[in-house]
Amino acid sequence: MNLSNLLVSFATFFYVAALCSYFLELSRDDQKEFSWGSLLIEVGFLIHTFHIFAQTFSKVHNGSDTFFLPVGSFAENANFFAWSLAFVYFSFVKRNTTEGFGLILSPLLLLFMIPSFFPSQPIAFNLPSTGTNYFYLHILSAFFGYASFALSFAAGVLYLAEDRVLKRKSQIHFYHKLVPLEALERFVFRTMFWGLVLLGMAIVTGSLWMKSAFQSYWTTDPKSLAAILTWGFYLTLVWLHEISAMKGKRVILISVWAFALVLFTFIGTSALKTGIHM
Amino acid sequence: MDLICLGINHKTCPVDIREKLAFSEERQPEALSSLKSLDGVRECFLLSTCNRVELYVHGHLEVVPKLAGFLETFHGFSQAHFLPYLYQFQGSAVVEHLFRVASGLDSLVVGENEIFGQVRNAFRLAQRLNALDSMLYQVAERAIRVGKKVRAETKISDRAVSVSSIAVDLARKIFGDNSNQRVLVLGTGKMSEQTVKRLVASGVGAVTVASRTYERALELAQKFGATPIHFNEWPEALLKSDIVISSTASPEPIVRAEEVALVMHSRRHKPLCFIDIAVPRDIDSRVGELDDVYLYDIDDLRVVSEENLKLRKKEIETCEALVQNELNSFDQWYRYTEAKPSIQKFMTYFERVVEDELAKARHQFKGKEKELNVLLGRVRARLLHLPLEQLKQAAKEGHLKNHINTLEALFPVDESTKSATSDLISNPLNPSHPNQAGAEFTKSTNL
Repeated sequence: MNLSNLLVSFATFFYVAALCSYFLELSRDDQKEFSWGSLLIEVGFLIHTFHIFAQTFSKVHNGSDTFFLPVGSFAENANFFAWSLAFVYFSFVKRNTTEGFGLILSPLLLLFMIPSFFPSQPIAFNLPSTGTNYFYLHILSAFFGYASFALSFAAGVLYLAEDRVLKRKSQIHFYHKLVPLEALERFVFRTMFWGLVLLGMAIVTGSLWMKSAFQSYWTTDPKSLAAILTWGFYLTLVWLHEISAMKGKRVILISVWAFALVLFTFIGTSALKTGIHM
Repeated sequence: MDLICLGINHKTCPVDIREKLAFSEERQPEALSSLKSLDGVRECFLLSTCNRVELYVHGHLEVVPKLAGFLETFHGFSQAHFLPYLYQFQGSAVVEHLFRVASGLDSLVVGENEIFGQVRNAFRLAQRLNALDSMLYQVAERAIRVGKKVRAETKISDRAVSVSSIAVDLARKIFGDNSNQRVLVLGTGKMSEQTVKRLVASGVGAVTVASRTYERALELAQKFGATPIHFNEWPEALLKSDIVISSTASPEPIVRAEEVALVMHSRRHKPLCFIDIAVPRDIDSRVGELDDVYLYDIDDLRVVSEENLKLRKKEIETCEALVQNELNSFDQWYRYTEAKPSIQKFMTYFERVVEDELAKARHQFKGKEKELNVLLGRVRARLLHLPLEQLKQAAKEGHLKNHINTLEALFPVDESTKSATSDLISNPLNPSHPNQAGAEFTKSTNL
């Protein structure tokens, strides 16, 4: 087992432990200030970050052409996406949210860590100018942008579940464990805002890279078109929420369905196997 | 143990009798002073809340009729009315009762916090009026300690059980921080008042009160710094509100789903929480089916209350164990104080021997009396330290009597010399305060 595999195993172990801890905290009657789940997920993220660095540097040492971000296969993509999720969470939104959200984050992280334990075919890159800064920024901002939308989606699902509990009153005695709905709504739109900023960056840097690689700022590639459509839709949603034209469950429901656009842009368009994105 | 507790509470006595015997906060100092002046009362302590009136006294059993007489005279309320409801505890049962009261185990709502503050205030008042000495001081001080411990180490007070607290908790689960929320109160009943009180304490932004009688709206509004409005103005106020508390006496629902649907449209579906504590209900149950509207009626709140109460009841056993620990600790302290006369004899014997020998040889130390006294003090402290520690240990293990018998046999002493050393016995290491002997003892037994 090499260092990279060891680190990914350790990171996964901590994410599993965090998930178990969050479940235990949820089932406990008392509420404590300190959360073991939160600590474990942070340790997992730290190890995961080492893993990403280890992978990056090992690619450079192996003398791979110019591209060194660990997104060379389906397994690596999923792993890097999991890390992006945690990165966006800890960098942009952690301080504004509650511990209860860790319960949603940890299973998502685990879901995207699973492919790392299975063999995956490397993706062949036949693109020019992949060593430019625009290209790296394009990849990073796209991953971070999709991760932000994924977090927004997860918070939206949590909102709808809690709304159901609060309205149906079937498990009403469980109320003290719930994250306040308004806090969740804020979280949904804060992550959506960061998703917009990052996806916007990905579109701009992608366009600049296109110029250096193909002497044109624009291509009719399906992923590019889908990305612009997604960005426009989310921008409208954030704007409507910001001007208080839409609030509460309805706007959250739309935001949850809007995630289908992200999935189509991120995964669906790659399945079409056309254009410069794979 | 000459301790007596005479009282009434919610379990034994109807509210109309309880309110007649209750001591208002303003009259409690006067009442305590009168109680203290009764013949045979060495120490006293008075606890008066809306659910209980209790007199705690250190004195002989003969004082009990005087206590009932005191209640009659002070309140001008004939004994014939309240005697059937009076209960009485004696000796160690008094200690156990006060410990359970301070822990909230004897309260109407198990684990409530208010009683702890009330016991503490009663203790402070008694201290201020010098109504406490060593015995009742120890009992009350330990009751406060056990009350604090029970709340810190168990979940007895963790969850809200009152309807008003649960209403506030639920509103928090929708809005999180309450500080920006606007509250509309429909009706000015007692439940409304309690809920508003809780909401204001939780820091809500603004409160508006609507009542069919404007004067009552004004009165409630003034109490909580709210804005009073006429009852027909509530639909406009609803537009700007986030939490609505309703408890009017209307026989028909006053808030209908159609009206709320229009309001929600105008609010762009900003969440709205209704707390309906009226019976019959004020808010049409279909209101709760609207998106982003959360409706809780009195039955919903009671379900939560019962669930939370079940959790509290699970904690009773742990609390009783903590009370028992403190009772054991108090018992040791008491046994030790009971042994005081014998220890006094032993120390007197010791002092007499030293004084006799010193009288013979004092002339040899002329000019060095100060140094001699310091030296003797040190010798005395070192010699007595071990036997006193052994006695404390024996008190802890419950066989102090054997040691005391041995002491009395080994060191027979003349009663007349007792007073010379009595201060030492109170606390052989620091004889400055009578209560500190007990405190020192408790500390050393680490209980």
